[in-house]
Amino acid sequence: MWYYEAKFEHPVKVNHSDPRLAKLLLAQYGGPQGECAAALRYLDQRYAMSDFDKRTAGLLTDIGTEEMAHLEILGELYHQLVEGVSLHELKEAGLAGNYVEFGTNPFYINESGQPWTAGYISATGDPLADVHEDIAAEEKARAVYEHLIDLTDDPDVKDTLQFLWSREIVHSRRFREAAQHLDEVLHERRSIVIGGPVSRTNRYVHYEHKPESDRP
Amino acid sequence: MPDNGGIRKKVQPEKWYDRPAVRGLHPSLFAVGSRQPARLFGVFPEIATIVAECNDLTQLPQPAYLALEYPVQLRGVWQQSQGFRIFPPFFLLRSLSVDAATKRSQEGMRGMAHTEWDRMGRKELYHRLQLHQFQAYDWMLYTDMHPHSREGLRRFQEHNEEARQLRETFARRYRPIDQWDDQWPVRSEVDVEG
Repeated sequence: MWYYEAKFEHPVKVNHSDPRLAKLLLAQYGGPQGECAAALRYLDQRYAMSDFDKRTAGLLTDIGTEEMAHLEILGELYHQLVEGVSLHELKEAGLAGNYVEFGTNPFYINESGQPWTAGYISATGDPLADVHEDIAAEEKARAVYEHLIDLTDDPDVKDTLQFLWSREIVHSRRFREAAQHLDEVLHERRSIVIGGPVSRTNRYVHYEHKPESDRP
Repeated sequence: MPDNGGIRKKVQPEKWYDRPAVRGLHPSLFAVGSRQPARLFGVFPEIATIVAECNDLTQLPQPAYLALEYPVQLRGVWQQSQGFRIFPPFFLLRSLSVDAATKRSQEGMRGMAHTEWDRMGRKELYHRLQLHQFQAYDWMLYTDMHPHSREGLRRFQEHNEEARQLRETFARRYRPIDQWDDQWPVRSEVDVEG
């Protein structure tokens, strides 16, 4: 269960309108490396992860929740950047199509207009594969934020984007710790049980803790 | 010899970090990336480096309010390392000192809540709440992966408690922060002085 607080995680303020940047921000709103994909990825992966490691499942829940807060920050940033802009400026920035369909609201599309798709998410149910996917996703999001910071000269927007950028790095660090922890927990020992029941323990077996009769 | 499918059980020796006395130590005392023995007798720069690796926030350009927090953490670890060098029964002394520091800190925060917060307007109170909630969240992520970290837990509890009191103060004076109203989005909180 989630509770909502009518409060941003970081102040959102723009110095001046910039529809050109608003369009580029959609890359992090509804793009493949965006906050929407990140939040849904982590909140989906945690169910299988909880079978293997509760600690990492908790981390996925907490970071997935924070990514939702980042999505909210980006949506508000987009809205402030296009607020009060003339239709001519919107057309110049290439946002005429967005205006027709969504007004000044952001939508789950990337900067090129491609709609968000679940294909952006990878969740295999394998703890090591998933957590490494998460590390890669955080690093890709960090890179996109760096590119966005390069493309704006608004100090207030830069401040907000730098906050989001720094959070991607912290998340990546935590996922690296999770990967290391999973290595220790799972002992990197994999086995394939032929004809055995389908269960989570088929692939990762803790030999030390299992009676000899249960070993494959 | 029992038939175990050709897999030989590897007998794991008792790891030094599984001993009860070591288990509760702050993870910053361990080398990041391995379970190698920490430089328990190290000097300050080494400890500081390990702490920095543990929490990337120390290495990042952050808003000014965060810069105020982390030197305190480094200083605390340095004092602990000095204490360990001098006193062999380090574990007992350290746990006592951490508890005492927590108590002093919480008492200090309670005292401040009645003085400094009363002078704050809506904007300042809101920003203070935002700050402590964020830091509590960040320490929560840290304690997710370091559940045995007494220092991490202490920092989380400090910020969480302060955020809770700020939330109550804000609700008493203005509105509950989790109550929906026509003030959202929070632009109005930032721009309008209380």
